[in-house]
Amino acid sequence: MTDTSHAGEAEREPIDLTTCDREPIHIPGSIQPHGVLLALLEPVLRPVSVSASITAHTGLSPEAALLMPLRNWLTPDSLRRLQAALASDDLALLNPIRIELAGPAGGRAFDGILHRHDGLAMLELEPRAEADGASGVFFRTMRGAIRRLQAAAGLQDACEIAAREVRHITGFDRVKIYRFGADWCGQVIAEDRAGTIPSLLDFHFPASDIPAQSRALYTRNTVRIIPDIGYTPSPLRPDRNPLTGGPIDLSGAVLRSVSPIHLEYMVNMAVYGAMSVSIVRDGRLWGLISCHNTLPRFVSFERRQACELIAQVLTWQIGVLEEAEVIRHSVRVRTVQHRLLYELGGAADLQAGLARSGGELLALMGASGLALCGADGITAFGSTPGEAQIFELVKFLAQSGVRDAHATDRLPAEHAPAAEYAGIAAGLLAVPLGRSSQSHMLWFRPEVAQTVTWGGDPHKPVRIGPHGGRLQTRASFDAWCEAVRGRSRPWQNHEVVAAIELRDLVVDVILGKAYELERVNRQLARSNDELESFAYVASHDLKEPLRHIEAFAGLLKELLPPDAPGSEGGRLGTMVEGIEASSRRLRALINDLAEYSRIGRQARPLSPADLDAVLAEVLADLRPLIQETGASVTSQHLPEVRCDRSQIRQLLQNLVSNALKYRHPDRPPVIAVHAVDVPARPGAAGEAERGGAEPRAHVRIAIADNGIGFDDKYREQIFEPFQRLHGPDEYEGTGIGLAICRKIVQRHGGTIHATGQTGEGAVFVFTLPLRGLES
Amino acid sequence: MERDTQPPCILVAEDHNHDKFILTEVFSRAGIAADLRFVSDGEQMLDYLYRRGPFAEPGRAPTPRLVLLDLNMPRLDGRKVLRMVRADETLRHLPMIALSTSESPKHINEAYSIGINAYLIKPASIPDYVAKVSSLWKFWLETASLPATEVARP
Repeated sequence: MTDTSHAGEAEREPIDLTTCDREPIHIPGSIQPHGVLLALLEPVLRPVSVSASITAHTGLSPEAALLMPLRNWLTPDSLRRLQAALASDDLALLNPIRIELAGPAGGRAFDGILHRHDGLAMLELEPRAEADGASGVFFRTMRGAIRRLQAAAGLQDACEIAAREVRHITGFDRVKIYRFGADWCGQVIAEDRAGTIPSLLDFHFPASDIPAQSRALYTRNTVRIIPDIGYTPSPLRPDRNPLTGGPIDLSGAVLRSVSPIHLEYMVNMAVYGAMSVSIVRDGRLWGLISCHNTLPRFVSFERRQACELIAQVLTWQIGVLEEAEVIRHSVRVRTVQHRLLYELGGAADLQAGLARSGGELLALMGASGLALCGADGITAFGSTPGEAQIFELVKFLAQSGVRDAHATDRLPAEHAPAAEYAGIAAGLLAVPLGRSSQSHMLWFRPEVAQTVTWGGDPHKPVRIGPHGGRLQTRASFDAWCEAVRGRSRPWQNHEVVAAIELRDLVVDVILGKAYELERVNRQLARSNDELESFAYVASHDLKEPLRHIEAFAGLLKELLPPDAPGSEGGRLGTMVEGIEASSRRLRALINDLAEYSRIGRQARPLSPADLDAVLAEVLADLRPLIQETGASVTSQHLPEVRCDRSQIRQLLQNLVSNALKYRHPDRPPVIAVHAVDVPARPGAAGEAERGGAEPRAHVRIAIADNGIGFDDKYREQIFEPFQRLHGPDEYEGTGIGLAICRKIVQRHGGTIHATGQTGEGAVFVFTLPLRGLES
Repeated sequence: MERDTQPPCILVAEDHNHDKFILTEVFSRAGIAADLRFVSDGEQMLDYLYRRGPFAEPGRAPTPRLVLLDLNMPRLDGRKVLRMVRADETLRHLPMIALSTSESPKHINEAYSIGINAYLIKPASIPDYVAKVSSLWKFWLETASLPATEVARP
């Protein structure tokens, strides 16, 4: 893509790409020889400079042309058209002007292309191809092309249509749409080509391939053609503007000669004819429609104008479509937000809800990773740096005083440690979740070079020209990779806006959750009270009829004759026994329910109790069962806690007897009761090392067994009242024991949870306050 | 101990027909020949003891040797009846046994503090019930010496 115009005397210093951006490309002193340039002094239209190519096209020597008035070698009509054009307000509007030669070379026709620069009227002549121009067919072609462009569904579609139409109009082998990034690196985003020429689609090029002054010229002079890459430049005679005293500025000339570097680059790509049309949006060079041919190819000025028109329509379409895409994106953002809100509202917690929508969020933001980090840790989705790296990053953000959204596509340049994980997060969009600078929503994008692979054929032999191996697309790709190292695709404005909106939503959900939690808590407390009093009353009222059922069954049983099974009496006996068994079970349930409801109702004040002593009492109570099962129960030194002693005794009793009850049939029970991370006494070394200013308020007690265990998916369920994992025939019990345990622990302000593995055993861990709630 | 051939009378304050039936059955299974008289609430019990209203007719209300009292009765509650009996010079010596479903220590203590002679929790199983009633009988009617049976007439 190198397009650097040729320095007048290239041999003065060796040319390489590093000299490109210093090259005075607007004053090359020569033009391409497929046309003629005349610099005219108005109003008499006296030539002050003429290209040497005039001889080949008109038979006049440059010297003769400089001396001879135009009317001597142009037809009067041509001269009149020229003067009319120069008198009009907008020169360019009338291009091309039909110019015909009079005299010896009579009948030769040219497209005259007129512009003014530095006080000179510049007339460029290109041999006129017949049958072009105002034909109805051509007009219809253009109308169809524009209509198709306007119907494009999206940006990509529009670019593909434009490439196809330009190729149709010009007949080039390959027409590609080249788009500049924010950093002026470029990428081929659409292409239409013949099968005989390789594809350049998705190729990336460094900004240095089209240097700043080239881009400036592209912006001003939107159509450039090099019909024959192998041309010999035709010098201007003389290369001097008498009005400025300097060389003639060819910025606006269509015939301006091109840098040999650019030509060599083209040859290396096996391109011998080229044309480009600028896509200029809001005064900025958005991209190029770049045309290549494997053979020299000239395209008439009018067809070039048609391509310019295509580019113009494409530019409008880009504007419309980019806006549409932003709107579509924001609609999508809103859709996702609504669903997210719904999901988060329903989800047990924010993280689970986010996790469910994580993939969609990443797609929406064009990000590869998302991390939420707050006081309670980090929740990450997709591809993100490690926790420690994120913490470091958040610290950096806090230090740099980031208060609002911060977007960067080159994180390693701002935060050196990020160089290590640029492959994951070269781009960062950080949105603080709240006033606390420690809470952030972080979106990550990988280094762009790592997401793009070289699209060329690695086995293609590399042709090395006189300027070395750099002038290859492969080398361009490598240079581009180097240029974009440590950088990600940039964050678009609408993406930043979307991230802020998502942040607001998450914050709303968090705040809403807190409120909701409080409301539910209040409701729970109320219904809990109701349930407890209900359970208590119900258990008393239920007992009465139950006692009667049991008594009647007992009376009935004694009336039955002691018959053999199968007889009438035997069947009745079975039925009565059924009544008795059911009654016993109902009584057990009622008793447990009453006991469960009593825990909350009979709240005794907490006082210090030695857990070792409590456990010893429990083990004494359970001694018969322990002996029967051959169990070994061990305990380490347990701390003193503030508690309702009788309840804690019941808690330990329930847990130890559970461990005995659900023993494995193949091995005697082994039960270990111990305190996990026994808190250090204030002032102890461990406490100081942890940096804990406050001595911990809770102790954790674990009771582990080697019994039948349970499937871990039931870890919550087992604490619900009357939830059982086994039938009453397998193991006795009502399923209230663990519910009672949980209630006791909760009443003490602690938590209880269990982990289990079927056939392997279970571990119950509960926390108890060291100081107590009421104290 | 028996003064005549009449089986000893036991007054039972019990509001529930099922309980009356069950208690009768239990006495019978225990082989106890007792003259069980039932009243359904505290009012009726006082009527019986004072032989008024439906119990005014002679022979309708033989003097009980023992009173079995459900503490939770409709209208006049068992505890109130107990207090009234203990406050009455002519009745205060009557042995009164609580028959209750409540195992609550609070209820038990309360009953003794207002003058119950024994507190019995109604067993759920018939054999237990039979055993309890048998030992009750053995103690109160065959072991202990009871006060004189004549009750003052109003």
